[in-house]
Amino acid sequence: MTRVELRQVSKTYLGKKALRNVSMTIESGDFAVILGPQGAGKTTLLRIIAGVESPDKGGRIYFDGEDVTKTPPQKRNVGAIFQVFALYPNLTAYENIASPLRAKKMPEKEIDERVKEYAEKLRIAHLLDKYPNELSGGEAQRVALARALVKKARVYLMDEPLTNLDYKLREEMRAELKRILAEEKATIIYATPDPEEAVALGKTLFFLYDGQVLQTGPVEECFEKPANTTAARFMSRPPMNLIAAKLITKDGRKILSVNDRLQLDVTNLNLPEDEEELIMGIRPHNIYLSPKKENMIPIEVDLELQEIAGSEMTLKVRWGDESLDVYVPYVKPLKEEKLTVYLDPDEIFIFSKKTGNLIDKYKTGAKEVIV
Amino acid sequence: MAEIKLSNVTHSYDGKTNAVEDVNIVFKDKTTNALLGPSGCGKTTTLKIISGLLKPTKGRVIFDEVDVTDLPPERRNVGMVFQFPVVYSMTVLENLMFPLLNQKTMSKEDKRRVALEVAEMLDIKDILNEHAPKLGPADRQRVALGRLLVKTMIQRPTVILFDEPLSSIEPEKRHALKRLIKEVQKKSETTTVYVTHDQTEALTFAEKIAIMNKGRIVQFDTVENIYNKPKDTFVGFFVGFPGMNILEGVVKGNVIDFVDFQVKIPPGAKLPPGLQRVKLGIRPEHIEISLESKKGEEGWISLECQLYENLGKGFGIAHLASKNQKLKARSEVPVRPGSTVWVRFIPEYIRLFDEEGKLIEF
Repeated sequence: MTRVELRQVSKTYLGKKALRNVSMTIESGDFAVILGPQGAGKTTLLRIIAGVESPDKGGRIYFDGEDVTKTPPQKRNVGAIFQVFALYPNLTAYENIASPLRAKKMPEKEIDERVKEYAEKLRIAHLLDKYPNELSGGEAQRVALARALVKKARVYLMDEPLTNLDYKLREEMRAELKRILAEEKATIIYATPDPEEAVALGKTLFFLYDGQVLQTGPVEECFEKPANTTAARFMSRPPMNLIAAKLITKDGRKILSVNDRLQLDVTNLNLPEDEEELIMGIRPHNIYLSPKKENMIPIEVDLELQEIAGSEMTLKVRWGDESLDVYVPYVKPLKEEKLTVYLDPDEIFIFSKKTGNLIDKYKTGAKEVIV
Repeated sequence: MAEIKLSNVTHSYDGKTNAVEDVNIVFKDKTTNALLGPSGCGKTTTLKIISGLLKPTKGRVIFDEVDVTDLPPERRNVGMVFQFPVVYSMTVLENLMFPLLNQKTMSKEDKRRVALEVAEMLDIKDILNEHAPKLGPADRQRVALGRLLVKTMIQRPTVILFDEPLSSIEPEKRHALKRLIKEVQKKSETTTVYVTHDQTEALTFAEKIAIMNKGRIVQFDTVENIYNKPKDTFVGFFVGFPGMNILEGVVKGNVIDFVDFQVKIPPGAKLPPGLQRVKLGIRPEHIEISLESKKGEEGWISLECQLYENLGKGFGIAHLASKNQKLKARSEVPVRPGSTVWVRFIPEYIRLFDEEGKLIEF
């Protein structure tokens, strides 16, 4: 296990900044998730840690406090698993898994033990004599995973390893990965654009956007309290609803007027004096079709589209000028076009429009909602 | 604008294995339909047979009582939207006006007006003068959809076939396109068939979904029925995040024995006499879960948690196991791996399947 540190790492490709002054510390044995959209710089970051790419001048990488910025990849003891798993087509599963150990000139007996240990762990012991073209997509991926892990590296870099699988396999492999990686005594750095994967697998989150780390912390805490509107939209699927709001004063009380349709008493919140324009945020799963508790806020909406997934639905609804997503955790297509939906007042976020940063969460006070 | 019927359709590419086997299906006039299944299930082959790109080895294709099996694609009047959007090497506006090229009775102004109307609807008004092939996949798909709509105005297609039209589109741009596809379905007033491996798209774009597996149609039904009454264990598992739990047990009187625990046969269930081995299906969202002991209480089973996956949307998936059984359940509270939890299968949601996996209806 290794502690991985990056200090002021930037990377420029043909004048374009892929990473901007990234500093981060990944503790030894941590499972760090780099979450971010396509093009955020995730792959570049992993390649720099692996040593196949070097940072711009001034950036440093430390493993357990030791500067490895100039250390070549093969001396860093890093294992990497990428989106596209390539197996040697002319080698059996056994030989594919053994190949990195052969390259290290490990004694045959030890190779055999290791290959069998990992085949057992990945439940592919019965497939060892098969060639890649005889394996299903999921089996091939397990072989590739075994080949990566068999080296027992101190740091594993994983770049969207589940992205190319169809969703049934993805579901199965996500759970499997979690189980297997928990047994490895290694630091894991895992890049993904999928917030569900991030929260299901990771311990520490680094939210990467446009080459910068916008938020970091324990995964669940970040999801609970996203630092800004970008993180908020990205850390929820479907994305958090963001609605224009104005701060007004009425009878000496501060009122947040949302979408000209809802007024929330925010006197007891600590809002900046000089910002009138704000953004109200609420996640799709915090809007309900029936009131879950007493103080829920009803709003009238028009149903535009229901997106039905296997066990859940996302309703696209129109609320005045705003479009909202409402998450329904079961399947029951709706017939009506007009609906009342209920906002959970304990899950309302208030962001600054100017900076996008989170200001506070709405707190239901003595004075309740005035509609 | 037609009823599309496939009658005893079988197709083999190599003369040995059947890519599509004995498919019988009727897509009713002006309905929205989907073909859903894992890769290699035969859905694309079926689509090609409808469009006329492929002549089936056996069976007939019938559009409104007319046998079109031997007709080439261009004589079937089929509208197509492809996975990789097809645009012509001209501007967006010219692409939209292309289907009107031979309309002698229409003035140039009228053609332009129609194209602009469609452009407005598809939100491509500001890129009308761009060279279409230079656009990104999402915009190209908008142009392709737009051209189809314009064509629809001149002559209504018998059927519109969508072949995974969102697969090649960047995830963040799919959203807006979904609404447009719905719009096109509505405006075109014709039968549509949407092919996909993605259950969300199938369930979203179709009133009735044909689920395919290994070349056969396993179930052709409404969303509700597919979710609530899967015809077999494949459908139960394939539709759902995660899919239905399937447990194998033995009938013993009025219970099913799963070695480590027993589950009461739901009231009203009539099992065929003499049936011994059954499969019980229950969706993760239809399992009640308790961290507090329910020892001795009717219907509750204790299991060990192996893994808990928070999904960041108000609940997570608990992977639970006993010595011989495994299942997944939704839980709003996090469950610690290694801890013992209590679960109850909500009786009204329990489904039973025979040994071959076929639903036992009751």
